Amino acid sequence: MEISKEGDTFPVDIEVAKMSELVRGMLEEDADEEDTTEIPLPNVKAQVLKKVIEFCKHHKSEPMTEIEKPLKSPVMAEVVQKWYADFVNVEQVLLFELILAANYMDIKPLLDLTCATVASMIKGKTPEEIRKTFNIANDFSPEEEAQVREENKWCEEP
Amino acid sequence: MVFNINPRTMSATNNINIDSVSLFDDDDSLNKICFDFDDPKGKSWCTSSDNSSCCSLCRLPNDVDEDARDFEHGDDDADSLSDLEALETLNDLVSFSTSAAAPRQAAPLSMAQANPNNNTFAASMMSTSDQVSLPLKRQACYCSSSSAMMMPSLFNTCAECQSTSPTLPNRSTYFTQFASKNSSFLTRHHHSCTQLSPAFPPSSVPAPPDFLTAGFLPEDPVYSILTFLDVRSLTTLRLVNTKLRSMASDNNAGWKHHCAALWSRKVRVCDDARRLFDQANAAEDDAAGRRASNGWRSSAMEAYKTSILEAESVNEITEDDLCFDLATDRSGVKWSFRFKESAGLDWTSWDPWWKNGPARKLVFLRDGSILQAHPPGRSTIVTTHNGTPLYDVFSERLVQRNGVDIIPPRIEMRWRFVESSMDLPSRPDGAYVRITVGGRDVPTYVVRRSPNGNWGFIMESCWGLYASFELASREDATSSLGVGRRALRRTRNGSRWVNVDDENNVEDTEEDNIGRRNVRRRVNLFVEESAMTVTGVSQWREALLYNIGAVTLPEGNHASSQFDAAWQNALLLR
Repeated sequence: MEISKEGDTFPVDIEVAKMSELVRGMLEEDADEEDTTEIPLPNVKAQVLKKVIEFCKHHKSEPMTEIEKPLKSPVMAEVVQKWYADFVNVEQVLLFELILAANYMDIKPLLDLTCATVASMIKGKTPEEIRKTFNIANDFSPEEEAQVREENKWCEEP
Repeated sequence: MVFNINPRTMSATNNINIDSVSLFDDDDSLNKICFDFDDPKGKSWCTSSDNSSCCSLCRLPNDVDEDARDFEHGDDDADSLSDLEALETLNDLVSFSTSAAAPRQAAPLSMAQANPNNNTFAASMMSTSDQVSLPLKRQACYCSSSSAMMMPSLFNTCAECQSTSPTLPNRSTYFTQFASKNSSFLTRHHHSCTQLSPAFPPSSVPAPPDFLTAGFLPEDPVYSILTFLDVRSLTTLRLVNTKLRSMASDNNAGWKHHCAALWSRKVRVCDDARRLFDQANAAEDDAAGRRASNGWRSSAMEAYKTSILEAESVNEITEDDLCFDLATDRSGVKWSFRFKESAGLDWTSWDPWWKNGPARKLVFLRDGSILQAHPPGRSTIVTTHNGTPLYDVFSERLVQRNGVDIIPPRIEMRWRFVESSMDLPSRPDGAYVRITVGGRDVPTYVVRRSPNGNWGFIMESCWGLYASFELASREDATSSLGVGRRALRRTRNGSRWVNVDDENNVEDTEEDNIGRRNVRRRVNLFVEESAMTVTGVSQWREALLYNIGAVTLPEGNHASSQFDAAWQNALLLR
């Protein structure tokens, strides 16, 4: 069982839970205890943990194909199976919460999927479009921005 | 339900059908106007009868400012803000407030703050029961009651600060009821509200907070994101803000893998780039060297950049680029050589490349001599360098005397750099190589980067071609017929040929596991006939002099003009 930040309990098969290296380590430490083990995950919200478990369960039945680096397409459905592309079709706040959870729980496929999704939101965009997508403030002075443009000239289209 | 605005009630003209909109059904419910902030979409109305517990932001209304109860009714004509606009701004604000987790300690906002430009209109509407606070700087500067705009002029222009406010729908009754419960809403006119208001996004979709660069994520996941980006996206990211400039330049952003992937498709990478790449690897173990003076570990990016700039800008070779016997424990380049078809059958008939075999391999030594590494000669080995036996050039050929095979007579080949070619413009040092075969100068070889983009060098004259890489065999080089362009693909288990035209369809059966997967190691080794630039026409002077038996071709900047003068004289003599 995995317990969220709010104290909600989520029963999970041990094999599913072990997709998380963090949980795997905890289970190994508690190997002598009874069959049902409670894994507290105080850094993961219930809503996020629910999605994480959903991912892990599906990954057991349909493992995610490895996502090619760098991304060949900004469309996630073209780089990973449809279920996974749909899985990360969520609002930004949840997507980033999932990244945090995957990082904390050490679930590499989920971390890859969520990070690749953010990367797909960057790929092919202009700096202004990226700022708008992620609500990033431009803190460059005009001089600094000109300098970075100059530094980037080497990779501009001829 | 208190405040029932539904986009479906809007007419085809995008105006709210006011008759179908129930603003205030009863007086008691006025104080319970709030949004359900626990709704994931943040746009639904809270329907609880107990506004202290229905959602995370519900609470009882603030005390009403007693000074603000005095207001007047206005006429019913004002209608300057479209209902749709009002609805949109309302929705904007609700969502923004939800996602931005606005402080719960609310302060009432005046209706005069409602400004279509900063979307505070909706904030004003919601503030009736103090459900929402926005991250505004509060200042104790309000229009006095007397100067506050009354209904409906309240929603037009403040007489004191001249700020323009939107006008609500023509329903003075609603306004009256509304205002009677929310006097502060009507009278507290915040001056300079456009300056004090937060920068709301103009679109109707609320902007989420900056999860990417504002510290929501630790650095490692951000770097994980960056490793999925190509080089162009990384350089674009450098232009977004200072933090992304730093992170996208860092070695951890995947630059080492980009170097490995790029360089695996090239036959030559300059030493400066390799040195920077080594620094990037060393920096991982060197805590002191983790950050360069510019604040990030960018030597891998610099290595990538340096290698590309060098390949684009350098078209001349140095002695180290040319010679096989380097002053190190490693060997230099074995140059592939083949005759061009224009050399004629006398030459191409015994050229291994023209017989569909691997191209002849020649090496340039620092003493000015040229020897042959492949095919093995029939003469004795002249020397062995780093385990490579070297023979006299062309010594593999069959020579018979009186019907008996004999060891072919030695043909000496030598090389030297020349400043210029008779037929071609001046270029920097290392652009022209003059080769002497059997004591006679042959037309100058012109140095340049390989036209096939593999960053190798080629040396080309009107009759011959050297390449600093293994030339594709003639059998594979049938591109002129439009079939089977092939490239040599490096794998861990050796090399194999793949069809260039089918490159995108070739399944990667061999993965490069050095550092990362998915690195396709293919090197284009073709030098198309159509890419040749030096011909008997462009090099006609030297070709002519060779053909008429010249032993040494003129050198120097004036060689061409001297030749032209002599040529004119010869024509005159005829």
